[in-house]
Amino acid sequence: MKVSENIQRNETYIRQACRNCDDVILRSMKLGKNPGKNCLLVYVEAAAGNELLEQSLIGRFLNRLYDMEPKELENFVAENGAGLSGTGTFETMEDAMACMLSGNAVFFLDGYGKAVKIASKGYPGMGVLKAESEKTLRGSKEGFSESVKQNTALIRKRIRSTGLKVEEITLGARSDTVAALVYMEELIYPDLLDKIKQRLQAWEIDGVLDTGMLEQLAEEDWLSPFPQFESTERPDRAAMEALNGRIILLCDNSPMGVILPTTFNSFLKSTEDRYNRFEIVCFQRLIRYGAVLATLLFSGIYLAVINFHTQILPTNLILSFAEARKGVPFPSLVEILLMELAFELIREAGVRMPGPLGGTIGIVGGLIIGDAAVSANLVSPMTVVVVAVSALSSLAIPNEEFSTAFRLLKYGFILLGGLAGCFGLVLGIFLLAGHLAGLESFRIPYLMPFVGKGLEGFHDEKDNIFRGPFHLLKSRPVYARRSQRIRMKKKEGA
Amino acid sequence: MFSDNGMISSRQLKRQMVLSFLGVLLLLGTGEAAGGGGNALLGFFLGILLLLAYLFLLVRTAEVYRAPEKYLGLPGKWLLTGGYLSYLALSGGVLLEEISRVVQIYLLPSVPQPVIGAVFLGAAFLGMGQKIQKRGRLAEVSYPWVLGIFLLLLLLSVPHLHGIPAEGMEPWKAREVSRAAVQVLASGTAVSLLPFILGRVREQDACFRVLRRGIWLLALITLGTAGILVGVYGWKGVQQLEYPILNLMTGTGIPGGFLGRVDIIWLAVLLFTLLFAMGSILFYGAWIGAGESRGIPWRRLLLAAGIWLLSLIRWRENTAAKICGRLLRDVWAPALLGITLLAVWAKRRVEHGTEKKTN
Amino acid sequence: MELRKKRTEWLTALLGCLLFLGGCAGVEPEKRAFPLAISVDVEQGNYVVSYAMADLPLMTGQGKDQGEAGETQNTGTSFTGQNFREIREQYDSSQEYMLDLGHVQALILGEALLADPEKRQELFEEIGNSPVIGRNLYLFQTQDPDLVMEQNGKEKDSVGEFLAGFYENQPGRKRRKPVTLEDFFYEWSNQGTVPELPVLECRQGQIFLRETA
Repeated sequence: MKVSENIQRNETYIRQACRNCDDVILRSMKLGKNPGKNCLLVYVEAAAGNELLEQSLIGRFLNRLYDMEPKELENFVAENGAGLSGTGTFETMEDAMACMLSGNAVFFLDGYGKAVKIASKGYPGMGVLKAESEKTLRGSKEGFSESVKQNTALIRKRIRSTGLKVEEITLGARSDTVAALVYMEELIYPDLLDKIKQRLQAWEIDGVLDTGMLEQLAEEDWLSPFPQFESTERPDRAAMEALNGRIILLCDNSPMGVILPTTFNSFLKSTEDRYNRFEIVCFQRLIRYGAVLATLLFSGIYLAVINFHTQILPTNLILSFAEARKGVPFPSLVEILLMELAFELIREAGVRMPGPLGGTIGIVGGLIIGDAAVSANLVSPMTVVVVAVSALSSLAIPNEEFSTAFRLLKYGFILLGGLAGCFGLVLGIFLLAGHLAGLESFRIPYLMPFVGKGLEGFHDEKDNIFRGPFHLLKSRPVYARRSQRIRMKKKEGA
Repeated sequence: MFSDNGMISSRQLKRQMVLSFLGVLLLLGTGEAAGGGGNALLGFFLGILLLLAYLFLLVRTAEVYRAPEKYLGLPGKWLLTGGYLSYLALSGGVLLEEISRVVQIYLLPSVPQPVIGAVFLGAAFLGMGQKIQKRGRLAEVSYPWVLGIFLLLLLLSVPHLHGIPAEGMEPWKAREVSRAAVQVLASGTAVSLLPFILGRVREQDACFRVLRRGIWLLALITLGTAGILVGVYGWKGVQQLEYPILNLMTGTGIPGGFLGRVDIIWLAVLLFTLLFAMGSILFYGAWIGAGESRGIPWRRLLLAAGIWLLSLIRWRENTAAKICGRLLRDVWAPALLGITLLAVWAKRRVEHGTEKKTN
Repeated sequence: MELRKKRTEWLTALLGCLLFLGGCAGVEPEKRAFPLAISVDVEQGNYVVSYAMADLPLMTGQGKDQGEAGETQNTGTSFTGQNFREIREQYDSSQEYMLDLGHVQALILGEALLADPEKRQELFEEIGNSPVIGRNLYLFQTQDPDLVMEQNGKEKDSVGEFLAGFYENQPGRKRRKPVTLEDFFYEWSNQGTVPELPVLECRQGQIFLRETA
């Protein structure tokens, strides 16, 4: 419906649309010198801050109109005579309502056929948070907030260039959520941007509440347990990846940004890998890769070896296992599965429990599962060790979503190892390797940079499993446009 | 971006080839080479030279394999397709039977061979897939691990050497040497599958060079391993063993007693390469005549079923490996060589025909 | 989409196959008997095979089932038979634990067996066909294997470990190189002769190693 010049019609429309919406305030008033003109201000109470209205932008705007001649009112409003920032006009009621619901105030003037947006502080939010799930010893501690505007600002703070583009799109038919695509225009492949927009707009969905929803909708291989987007809650990480030629997708009300495209190797990099010296980074990367293998295979290998291939172990070790397992009522496969599930239970409970109780859960769980179960001969001590190693390894993987894939696949390998020994494990490894070899993230092979050497456009950035010394990291990775691969060079004469 | 062009690199091509052959050579070829004495080892070397010449011809006539109808007409295309599909089915049957036997003896004694074969085939079918880039990437990423572990374990077995014994070796016979050379050529006719995918290799000019390097690498590993086997078991000792390379690893451990024996690790890596080999057979079976088709892979399924059935063949104490192996050596290998010569002739004919038209 | 569904079904079938075939394929370590030494001799034309089993509580120090009736691992078991198939059948029909030969460290051959070429041939063909027995086990000969095997679990925790220890725990000591199964097969296959094996003698309840006969 077009905004009417008759303010009564506009008011009727709004009252009808917002019936039973007690948080939406409609303020009718007469502004301008006698006789004055009818005006209407519509806003969401918590977003516009009723008690501070007089000191806010809205209040000052209204005060300017109060003493004006009625004939001048329309021109003043139309030409933004108050010099409001973030203002705009709408010709349809739907647009005006959408603007109001985004946390702004909307002003209607009798006889003026447009609605005026007056920007306000917006909905309440948590502000800039600390990065909780991506902790580092070195580097910024800032994390994304739940406002997409603040998040884009946090990235802009780190890349002060007009080359950094922020494209906003609105998703969700009912939620009207603002999402932003942040990228360096001269670094990305243009068709990558088109592709992600296509994928995001391919769905009609009623509400988008988190980047996780966008991720799942836009993924190509949705059956794969491996994420094809990389999530981060760190603006410094997002800025770094924007400079690498990747695109960051942010979503209002979500403190998680999503980076695309992605590869296997990028999940095992931490933000501080660039801030630390290369020797320690290489060591840490090896630990992480080892952690991946341990999470996936340790329990399965244990079962395969003790049930099928005892000859592989030193004699005293297998005899220890045999003696330790005496009297345990369950087969080793069931034992491992029970312990793994028990650990997952403790993990879930620890995550859900508030503050101090979360830590207690770990101690209680460890005591009950670890010590008491062993003493009661329900499980053997070696099983506790195996499960503990596997669990700790999964925690050493920097990206939570990525480690989830291995935590899930681990059960497959437990079954394979427990039922078919080494034969089963090899089959599983082959299937997994084949799956990863076929996986792609926006046409970038998931196993890059371990594959693709010799193919057109391949580039070794010297930051794979091992990271080279910082002065050798002159190139951007394969995500960046071929003509923009050089990121650093020594100044002449230096 | 990278996967839009559907191409593989020459590096991936070489690695695919090496991985496809490595497991089979280590499991079966090293025992034969070592057991045949000096004649077999020299014959192996000469056979490699013949194989390289054959490979040269194949690379030069690759277009004929990629577009057989254009060069050989429709009957030629059917001959080519039928010949290769049956070759793949027989090879797969032989390979599957050997693998099932080995797995049953060394890993899962209580499980019937047909079940082992079915599960193995299933994994190869699902893991390899039908996309050429997927196969290339799988080879590229697993190659260093496979080769590294094999070489490391072979190095660990070196302390078991007794030295190459002077006595016990069969006397030199030209006939035996030439027989061994022909045997290598016959076994190596599997390289004639390569031309079907050469059109998808990015650096076309480098194909023969990288494949040649791959063949030499395989030859080096085979001869080196055969040498170790002879050094550990002696000329006569190695003849008495069915799978001498597996026996070798049962006596090898990691220094310091960290692991008692490494035979299971060796077997695990070997199985991986054999899975790759079997997956390659299924891949080529679908690729020949159909390429990277989408939808349900009926051709691969039928080929897999055929391979499994062939692996179950038993005839008067002869297994599929013996029966089909003989057929492959005596019938199919010469036929494939003949097809290559036909391809050379067909290419020349078409080229002369084109020259005449332009003149 | 249909292909993905099919692929999921195949994967499930594959796993199901494994479940079916693997129902009881694995045997847990506590259900296995681990002989660390084996002696083979010939008596009146029959093979006498003795297994010196590992005493788990004694060797591991864990003592989970010390003193519990019916739980004690065998420390020595002997079987007599005309051939090895018979001996295997006797074992399978009399013992609850699966025989795991993957940790045998010492093979003690009776002099009577070594003197009988036919029996020797049969024994080594039997061992040669076993994929489980390690080729790095040590070979010894003795006049009376029973005397040696009796020491298992008595003076010695394990005869197998004890005998292996002669070569592994005293590396500085000048000894003749041990004869492993691999060495034995090498000489036997290529030269047709049996290498000289180190001799074990039992005196006053102690086992002594004499380098040559």
